Amino acid sequence: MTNLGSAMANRSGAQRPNGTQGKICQFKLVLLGESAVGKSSLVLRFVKGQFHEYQESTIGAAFLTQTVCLDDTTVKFEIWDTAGQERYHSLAPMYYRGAQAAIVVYDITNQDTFGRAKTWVKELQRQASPNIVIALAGNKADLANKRMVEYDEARGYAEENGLLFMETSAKTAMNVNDIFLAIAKKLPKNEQVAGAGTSGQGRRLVESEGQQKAPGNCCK
Amino acid sequence: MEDDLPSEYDVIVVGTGMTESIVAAAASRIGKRVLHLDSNEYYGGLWASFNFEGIQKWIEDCHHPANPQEENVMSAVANDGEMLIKAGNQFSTISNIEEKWYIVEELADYQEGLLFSRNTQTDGGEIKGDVDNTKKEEDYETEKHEEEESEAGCGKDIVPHAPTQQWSQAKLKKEYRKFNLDLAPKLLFARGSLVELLISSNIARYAEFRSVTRVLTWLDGRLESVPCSRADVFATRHVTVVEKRMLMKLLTACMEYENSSKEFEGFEDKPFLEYLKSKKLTPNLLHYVLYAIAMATGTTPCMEGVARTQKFLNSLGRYGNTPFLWPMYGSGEIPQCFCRLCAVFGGLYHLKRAAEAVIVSDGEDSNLTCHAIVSGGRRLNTSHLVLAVGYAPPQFLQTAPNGGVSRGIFITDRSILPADKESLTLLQFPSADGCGEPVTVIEVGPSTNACPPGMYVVHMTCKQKITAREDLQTVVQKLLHTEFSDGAMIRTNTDTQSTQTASPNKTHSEDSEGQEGNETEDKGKSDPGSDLKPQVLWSLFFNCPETSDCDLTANVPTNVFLCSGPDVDLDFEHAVKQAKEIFSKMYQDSEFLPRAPDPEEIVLEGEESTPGPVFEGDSSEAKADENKSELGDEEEKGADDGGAE
Repeated sequence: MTNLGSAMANRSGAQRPNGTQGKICQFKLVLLGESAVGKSSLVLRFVKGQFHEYQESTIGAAFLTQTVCLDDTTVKFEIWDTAGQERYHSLAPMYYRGAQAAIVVYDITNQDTFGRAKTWVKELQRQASPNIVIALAGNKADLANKRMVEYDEARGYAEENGLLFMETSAKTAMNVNDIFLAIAKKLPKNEQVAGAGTSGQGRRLVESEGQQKAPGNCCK
Repeated sequence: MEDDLPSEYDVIVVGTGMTESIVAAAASRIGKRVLHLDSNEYYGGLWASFNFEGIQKWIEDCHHPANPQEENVMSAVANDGEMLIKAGNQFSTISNIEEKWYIVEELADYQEGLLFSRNTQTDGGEIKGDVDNTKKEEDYETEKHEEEESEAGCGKDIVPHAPTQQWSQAKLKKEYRKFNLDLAPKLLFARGSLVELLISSNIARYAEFRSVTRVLTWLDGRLESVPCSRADVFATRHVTVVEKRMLMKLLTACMEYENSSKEFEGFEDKPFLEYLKSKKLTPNLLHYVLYAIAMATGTTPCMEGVARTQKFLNSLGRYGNTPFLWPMYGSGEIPQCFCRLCAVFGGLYHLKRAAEAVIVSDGEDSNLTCHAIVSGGRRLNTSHLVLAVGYAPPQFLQTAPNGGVSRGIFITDRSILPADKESLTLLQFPSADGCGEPVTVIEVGPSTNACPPGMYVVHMTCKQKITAREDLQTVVQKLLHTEFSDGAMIRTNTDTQSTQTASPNKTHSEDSEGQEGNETEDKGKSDPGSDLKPQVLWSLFFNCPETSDCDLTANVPTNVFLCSGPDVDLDFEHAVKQAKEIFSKMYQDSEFLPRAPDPEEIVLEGEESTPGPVFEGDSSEAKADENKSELGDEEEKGADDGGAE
């Protein structure tokens, strides 16, 4: 079922693509969608190649990275999960800051989640950067016998709004890598090489920067 | 109300201000069940940053505060031996709000393209309450036209000191999303406790910063760039070599004061100013050290002045040219970063949800304990309650806070001191007599996402004496142009500004000798000078209560902890300190915000994990093994270094 296409998901997360391969682009990607539509499962499938039927709300892991190789470019996704803040409509605006891509997820067996997905798309158009690449993912496509959202309806909506669209299954891995790959293809690669989800503007704070006075006190 | 919230918690936190958010993150990080509520629909409370639409709504809400609803069901949720105390709202009341526009509602068609302006109405520059302006419905009739205009405008603004845009209210409002206006603008000392905490906890990855590019001071009636690093000092032309040595010696003495107590003998009970005078510094140097580096006043005690100088110097050389960092998208991002960490470790978030009452044991006043809160008519039990002081029942405070903070926010059309590149400026404006409290001025530009291109945002903050407008009036008049403008074009003559660069080695070098002799106030302030002051497009004044020096522990139940609102200080140090204290009272033996794992370190259950070093203090509650730590660091670093340029 897994269709890797030309993408090579780098599953270990440990290997650095070496510099001779071409440029490395890093993008911040945010996940949106109702609770329990499978946001975390999609990412786990993409990043770790795993699926857990009874995946609990992911604790401590709402921030993952994965790379996709695209011709001569390595695209590194810094993937942000909502960490449950969407549950009571309390997602912080900082979540959207500098996001260059978003996957809005709904559950094809639940019409309400599709309605909410549309609300999330509006929210992105309101809050996020105007150039953000948005993909709509109809997840749980393995449960087609319980389908409540028609493929054509969702595709029509996506087309009207300029969204990428795929039905996915985190369980069977269907279209999971593909949707990330499609996003990677659509993202501008020429902007900045070291985005780190920063939209190339501000600086992140790291221990090692500048001359150190005190011994590093992280990891204590 | 959606009501599937669990009813049992280890910690309920009410309010998403800075202190509350740090405590929430710290408790969640060690595996406690945390519920974090805020009655507002936004994060941060009085620490929030808003876009332009958001701040308009905030102003409106301040004028029409929602009445806390009476809940009849409340008594039903208290058991025998318990009593209900209604939550308050009086310690977060905003007062003296004055909002004002200085530009026309809409530009006439011919103004859009022509470089002249009608000489029509002015309102005498008197800053007065003009809240009604906010109520005017936005008129989008000219929207299409403006769209073209703003596109053209972007191109023009490549040179930051050449403002050529004409602004109207409608045009500014149309850009509302590009603003991030801070209720409580705060800088971070590069080696201050917050920076260290952000790094050590790994929360730093959620935020981005910009370095403050210059420290200015007001000296002899003009703005001057303060040489604040060693390199700056030596590059500065308007201090002599002898003075440079004096200054370096003095700064070194302050840095090493623990080891060189003799240096300050006899000054322990005297003002820092007297010590500085004893070093025979020239008036300029003395001014720099006292007001800009120590950020002190004429009456600051000597050792406090030394400590402040040391704090400044300590933070130099870590990130950029000054000791300070400014959060991208505004100060209101920082509480949200802590909230995210709390959520990542399982904390529940519910905005637009208040705590209507606190349920405490009905006993001796001295031994009250809190059992639960009432929220949405429901009883939510908790072992600890952390409460923003704004929500505290009045009886929890021994004395009502009497101090206040005076705030001014100004959207302007150019920098207070234009330079070649966009600047991020800190200015401590000394009081007229040099002994009173200074006014803290922070100017931020589009690169911090404070405002759209072609504008700047100036924040002013000081201790409240009368009202915000009156307290800040002097500084406003010195720095900003507050006449009504119908287009801002007539004042623009950009060429004359280029002489006023902010670079320390070029600043006013030809004037330096003149200044050392007692130049008069008017020097260099011929009217072209005042014309170059930024045109204020919009301003907002308000006062908020200063609760950081209230006794927040005297009358509260033993397991309730109150968090103060924004203080007048430049940085977040007070909130960090308070959060640490509260956490250690709740969980004495637990580590405060141990480092959260990097993505590469997270190995989920069921995955084959490669054995690797496991961090202490990051045990099973995180449900995440950690390994590959070094790799993770390297990767982060690699990305970060690139991004910092």
